[in-house]
Amino acid sequence: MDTLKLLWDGFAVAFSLKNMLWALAGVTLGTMVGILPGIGPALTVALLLPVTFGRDPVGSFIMFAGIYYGGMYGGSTTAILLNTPGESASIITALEGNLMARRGRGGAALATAAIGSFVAGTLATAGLTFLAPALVRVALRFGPAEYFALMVLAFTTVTSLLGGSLVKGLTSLLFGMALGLVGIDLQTGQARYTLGMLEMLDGIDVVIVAVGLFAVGEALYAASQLARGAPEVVAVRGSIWMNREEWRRSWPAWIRGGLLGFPLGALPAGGAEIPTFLSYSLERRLSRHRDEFGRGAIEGVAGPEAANNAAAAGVLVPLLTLGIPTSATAAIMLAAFQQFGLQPGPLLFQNNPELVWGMIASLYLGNAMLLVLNLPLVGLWVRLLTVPQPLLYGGILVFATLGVYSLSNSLVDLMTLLVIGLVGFAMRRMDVPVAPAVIGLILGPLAEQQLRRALAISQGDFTVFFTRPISATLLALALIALAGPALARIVAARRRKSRVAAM
Amino acid sequence: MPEQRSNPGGPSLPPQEGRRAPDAGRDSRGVLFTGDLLLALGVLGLAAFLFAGALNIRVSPSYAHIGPRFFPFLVSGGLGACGLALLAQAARRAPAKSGSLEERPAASGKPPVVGDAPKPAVYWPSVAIVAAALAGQFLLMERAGFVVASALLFWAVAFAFGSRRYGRDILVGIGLAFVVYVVFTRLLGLHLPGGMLTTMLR
Repeated sequence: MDTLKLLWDGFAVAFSLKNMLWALAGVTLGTMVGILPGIGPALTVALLLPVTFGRDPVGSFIMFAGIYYGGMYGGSTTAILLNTPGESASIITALEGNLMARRGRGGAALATAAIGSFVAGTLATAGLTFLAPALVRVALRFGPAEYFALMVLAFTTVTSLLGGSLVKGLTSLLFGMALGLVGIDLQTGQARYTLGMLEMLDGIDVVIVAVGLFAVGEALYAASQLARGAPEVVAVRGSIWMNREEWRRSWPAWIRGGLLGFPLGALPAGGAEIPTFLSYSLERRLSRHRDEFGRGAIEGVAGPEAANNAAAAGVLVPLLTLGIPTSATAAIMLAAFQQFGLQPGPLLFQNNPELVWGMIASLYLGNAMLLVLNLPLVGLWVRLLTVPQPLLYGGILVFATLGVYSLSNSLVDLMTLLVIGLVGFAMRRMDVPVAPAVIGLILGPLAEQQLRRALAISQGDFTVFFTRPISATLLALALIALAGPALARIVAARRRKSRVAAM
Repeated sequence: MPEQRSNPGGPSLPPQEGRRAPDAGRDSRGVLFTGDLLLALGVLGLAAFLFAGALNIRVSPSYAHIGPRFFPFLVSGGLGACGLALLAQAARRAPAKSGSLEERPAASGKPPVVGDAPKPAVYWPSVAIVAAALAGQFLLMERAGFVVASALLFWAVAFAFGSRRYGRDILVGIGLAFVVYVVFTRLLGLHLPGGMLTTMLR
């Protein structure tokens, strides 16, 4: 019952007035950026890094966690009313939720999304509470070889599961790792890829890359798509309360979504995309109203939205216990830990229990705040959707350049921002996912460090990765993750071809 | 404004609040193919650049362990492999003039695959204006100060996104930039170049 004691102490931290205000600020900001199309929690946390520099880390992380959770809640509102998923994890919500809104049940769709997010988010936070300490005990036995193998596993799963094409995902990841090479090599002090510029010796800041890819690249892409016109906002008609029938159809979907989302998010496979797709097909199979799917079925909103939030909590497990980020927002949060001189992992739980448990406790609190913020007050948030696109993107870019400039008051950073933004636009245009690049930038240097450390210990013997059992297992899993989806795709393509031939 | 619509790639002004009809058919297979090819060549170029750069990293002869060159070689090798794979994909797609579109799974009840639909045309003038506005922020930030530079950035981006309410846009831009300046420099203690405001506020 050690965990409960630690959680109790965490609640004492989270319920201090100051930290409750941080949490409220975080969830409010998170909901706002989740609702506004074009920005998300990863960008917001990145922009706030310079602001929180040198401030209280506990309060800062409580706010970041609030932004992270809030972004998930807000994203569903946009998906339902605007039919433009802010992120890949809301695609399904956009699908069925928008159809419900068009049928006049937008209120119920918003309610089942918000309550489902609360139920599954709380379940998953409980999962985080009890799984994290167990994983910490395992992680304490990890050496550099195991950490390197774990990072290889994270790399392969992130690239093979995020986005459609494995090659494009890998390209994005390696591009991020290439950016991560810039600067002074920590082990030998040699400058690498600095192009002779002093400003580059410290490396390219993750804030610049995240803002460049997510804000500038996104704005350039939106500008290039002007011809499509602004999407139409569906007004919320009818009651925002669900009727008895809708409750009865929603609650099993919430539980199933939560149970599906948390473990899949907690795997180093990460990402909330897969669990939402799985939850959708599961609900479709189990539903007695299968004919309603594709025309606005409430289970098709309740399940995936619950899975989405549960997976978001699950992503925090590898981030906090192993220091492995598996989503873009998690990668930025890892950068935030580094900014405060902290390294997530087992030692964080030993040395900074106040921070870790205060943050976990604040997630319970944040979920409750978000339920209130997103259900009775949803009408206020909907108005944000009516901000005209020109003003929205003007504002986004002002904040983007502000955040990057205030990193170190350097014009070189602004130039780098524009270049990375143009790359981000090209990536968006060519369907190359940008999230792996951010993960590669953060995790690449750490992977290099662990690789070289492991090889230094083994006197340059590469077999160390295959002779240590945990490391060998992790590498085998990485191979499966890399080859598995490709094999499945080939099999599926064969089957499709033979079916076409049969017709 | 039909005369503007007929010339989407030309130097005409961006459309009013984005009400223009989508250009169907502009994105032929050919456009997609050149894009794929450019992507592959770009990735290969980056791999070559990294490889050449890795050769230039100095390694002290007394350093016994895996040195600072090893990981750069790994990354450039990986990118090279990806570039070749992308090149092969681009080449495979090119000869299929028609038919490959039909091969795509039809929109059934299944969850949609991201990026499966053919992409609409790029409206380049707006992209150019946004990029130029950001370059302007770079040039003006320290010369004119944060408020002036940001207000101009805001105005230009709004223009690129089709807004023609010049007066409103510049007022909102100045207001936003001013509030942000005061909050960040006075409340949060960050340094921003004030330009002419430094003398006015002091």
